[in-house]
Amino acid sequence: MYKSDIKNDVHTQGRKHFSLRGQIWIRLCKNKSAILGLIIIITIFFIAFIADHIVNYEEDVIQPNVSIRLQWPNSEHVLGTDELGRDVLSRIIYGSRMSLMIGVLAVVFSLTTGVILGTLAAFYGGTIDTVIMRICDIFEGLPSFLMAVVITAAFGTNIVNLMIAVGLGTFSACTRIIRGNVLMVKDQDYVEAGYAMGANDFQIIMFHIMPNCVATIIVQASLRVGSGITTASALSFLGLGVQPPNPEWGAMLSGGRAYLLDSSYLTLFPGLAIMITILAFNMLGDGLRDALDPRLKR
Amino acid sequence: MAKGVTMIKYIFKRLLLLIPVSLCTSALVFFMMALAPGDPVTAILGTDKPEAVEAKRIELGLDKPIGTQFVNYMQGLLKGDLGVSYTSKKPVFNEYISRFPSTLKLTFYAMIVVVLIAVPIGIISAIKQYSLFDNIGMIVALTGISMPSFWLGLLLILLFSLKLGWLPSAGNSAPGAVILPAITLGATMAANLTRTTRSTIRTARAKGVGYRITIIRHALKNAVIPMITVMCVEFASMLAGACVVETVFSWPGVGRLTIDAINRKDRPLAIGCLIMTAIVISLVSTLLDILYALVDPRIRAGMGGKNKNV
Repeated sequence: MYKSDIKNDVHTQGRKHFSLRGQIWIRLCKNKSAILGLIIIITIFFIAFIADHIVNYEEDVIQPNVSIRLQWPNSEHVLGTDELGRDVLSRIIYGSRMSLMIGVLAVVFSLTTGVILGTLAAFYGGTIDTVIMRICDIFEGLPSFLMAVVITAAFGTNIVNLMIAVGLGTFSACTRIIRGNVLMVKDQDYVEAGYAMGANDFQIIMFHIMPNCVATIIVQASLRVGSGITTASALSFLGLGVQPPNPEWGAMLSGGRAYLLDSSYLTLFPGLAIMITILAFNMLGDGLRDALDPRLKR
Repeated sequence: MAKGVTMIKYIFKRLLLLIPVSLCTSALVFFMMALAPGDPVTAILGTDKPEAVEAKRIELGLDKPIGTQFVNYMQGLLKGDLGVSYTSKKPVFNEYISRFPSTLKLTFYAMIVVVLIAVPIGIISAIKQYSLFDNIGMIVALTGISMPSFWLGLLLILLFSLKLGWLPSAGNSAPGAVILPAITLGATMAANLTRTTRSTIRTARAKGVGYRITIIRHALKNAVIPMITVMCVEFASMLAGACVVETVFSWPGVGRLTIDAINRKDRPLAIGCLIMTAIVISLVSTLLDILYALVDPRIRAGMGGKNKNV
């Protein structure tokens, strides 16, 4: 009975007077670069989503057509053709799917692991904390990029492994951040109040601690998708990620590298695609951090 | 006097901790790389001579259980023996050590690039906040953070080597060869540091510190401290970034050695490079922690009590 009362109370507060979410949204909207980032991200997701309808995968993206190889941008091939005569624009459009999929899934993977481990470590402390933190230490013995290199080298190069590699490379950092956040929250009065009302550990974590970590998780997610995409494309560039003929921006750059002098557009456009995507995620991430963390603002 | 004892205890503890951490990371790398698809022996000898393959397997100790192999490997590491590379037939340890100075040189110049770009721009941006310079500086910094290093490297090669012909695009023998790789490796970090410098100085001014004192005391102090911090803390990410940059510029360092070893499925060389890099990184970060503890009273204060927020 008490619990439901409080729940209702929180809800009405959330909608009418308090509206923290509304405040955050307003703060975010005031930040022009964050909104620009958001618009770009939505556009890229939309393009990735409808890629099948605007591009013929077999014909334009995969099928070599040597007779029209290395054509500079023209009216028929707006961004030119690559060393095998495939349309660069089509491959970039399809590549958005690869990059977004790997970036987003890797972040989902590393944040899920990070949230679970970080919360367990901070909430229970003691031996659990020590064990989890030592596991993180081991994974941090190598920089995340080299860890990703080890994993792709060990398990072979395909998209799932690439995603796991990028995710495993960064889960320890996520664990630390979430752990710090939970440590800050768990001694607050409302957690104690929750216990006093008879809530169990699971309820405390889900309804009192997690809502207070959401801000951190969102900011981390938006900033890490960008770096995840960079890592994945760097691995593909080195030949350890997405393999040809699959269209991935890093792999495309690697393929165009041999034609740098005469066909510089092969280097220019895929790189531009990577940069714009990452820039958009960084702009949104910066904006979200400012909007969600009032301590940094003013 | 008590302080000195705590300090020595702390240093001792940190150095002791180095052993299990590097041992565990090495084990992680070793076991994961052992899982890698493909048999290393057939990779050298081919599949047509099964007896020779079997003999080689015994010679390399690959017939033993993986745990024993790891113990043997770590014993070898203490003696500077990490096996022989499949491709070059040279000892892995020597290969790594002979390539290391090259990477160190690249990292050193990259650090200089970081400091030369980040500190002045960060300071001016903070002082002339919201000016045109600040806005442009911050946009450039954000772009720099978002730019993948391999793309920046290729663009620099295109412009300065192929089009203008000012600087060499590959190798490390020609004069000025280090310039482009160093810029590429330092760019992302410089962009990051620009933003940090700007906000540190902004905070100092917001606290009411005067104009000139801000520059002298905070800005210059902030030029020296990041230099050391970046040198050491970011050393790890520099070594990681070097893999990409060295590949782009055909720079004969350990990063390229690692990537080549993996691409050629040269397992002893790949494992050796990764484990050596892990050890170098943990050594540097431990030394840095000790250095900080000597300098920063806050860390010293935390050493005596319970270490709550490791």
